Amino acid sequence: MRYDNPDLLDRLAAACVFGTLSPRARRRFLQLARRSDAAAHALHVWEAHSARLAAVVPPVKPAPRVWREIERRTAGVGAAAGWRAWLRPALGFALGVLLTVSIVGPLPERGQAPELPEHSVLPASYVGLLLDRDGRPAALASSRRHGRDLGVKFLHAPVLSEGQVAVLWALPKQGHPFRLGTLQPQAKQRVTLADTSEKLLANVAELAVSIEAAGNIPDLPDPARFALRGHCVKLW
Amino acid sequence: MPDPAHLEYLLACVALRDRAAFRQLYDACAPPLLGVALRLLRRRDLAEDVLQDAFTGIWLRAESYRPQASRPMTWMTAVVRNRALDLLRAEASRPTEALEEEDEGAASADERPTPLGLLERAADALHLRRCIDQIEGPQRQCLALACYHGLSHAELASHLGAPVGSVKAWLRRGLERLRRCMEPLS
Repeated sequence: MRYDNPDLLDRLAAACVFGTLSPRARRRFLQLARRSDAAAHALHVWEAHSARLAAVVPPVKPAPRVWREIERRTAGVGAAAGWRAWLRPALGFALGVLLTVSIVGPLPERGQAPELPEHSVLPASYVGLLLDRDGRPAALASSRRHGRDLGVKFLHAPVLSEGQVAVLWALPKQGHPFRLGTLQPQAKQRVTLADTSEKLLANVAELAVSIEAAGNIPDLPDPARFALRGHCVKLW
Repeated sequence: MPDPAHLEYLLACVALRDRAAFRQLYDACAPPLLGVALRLLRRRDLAEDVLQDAFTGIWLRAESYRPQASRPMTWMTAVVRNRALDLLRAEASRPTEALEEEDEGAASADERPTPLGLLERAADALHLRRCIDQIEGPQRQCLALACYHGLSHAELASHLGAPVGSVKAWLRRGLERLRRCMEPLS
């Protein structure tokens, strides 16, 4: 289905905002709006209309317990974030190990490079596990420490409209993000890096994927537009 | 109506995990947002649940707010409406309880403005009365009920005693007219 008809998007956005789409269709349209600028624009226009109409609704003061419950729910967020921050690289590591074992395991021993740690069959690599906006693993990226190829495997490939590309970004611990390459919406692919992983990724904390208009890829990404994002860890 | 620039500042602070700013944002925005949720859900307990969910979500995802795309109240109203609509559609039977008499800030059922009354108020506040008055009666009624009560096509048909097909056509034409009326404000 092509969603590049402005009138169609306008009608879908109105139905979404006014609640006359089915719940499933509404969720799908909201997802579409995350990756399509045109759909997002249509949605924002109708959300603005709806908010203007809602401004005349008489306000109602919430009971004090409402704030207490919000405070309770958000108080542990720091701890949860810390736990997730620990979990993500651990999960990335574990999945990276599984992936590497499944790929490298069957290969003959001549495939082992001198950079292998002693008593290990896993090559020294950079591994990234990217999660989607709902926190589900969506893509794996891995590259040998001194290699110039980055393998990417999508667990859920991004849906691209016509004229859009998925862009893979490296997010260093310090300094500006930089582009590693563009990705196709296919399950497995290889990106040729501008330099070795060691030089490019040694100080990179995270990888991310944004959906951009082909031919208009920004020099710096807008983090709000990241469709996928996750930690990048050293596997040695 | 809270000052949009101040709300934008507060949201930016919330994205930096500033709890004092979060409280200020809640104080400024919770009453109008609860009003919206209550209109849609017509049950105070459910409306307050939605408000809690919405503000928890705002705390978690304030960094995703994009000022260039929408005003803060627009964004937060959309968060509340989406959650309220999810809840409405998930309810096996539609809530029909009246607002509790002791609800703070809520008028008794007879004094509460009807959806059509609210649409007229909005038209006056936005200086669009002439344009919105030109929307035909059934279309205007569908618009008002969908906007302020979140009625689905089937519910609109039942409420208005009309076939679903007619209701869909009325609402579609009403939304087209409404879009034209509101275009100058965009």
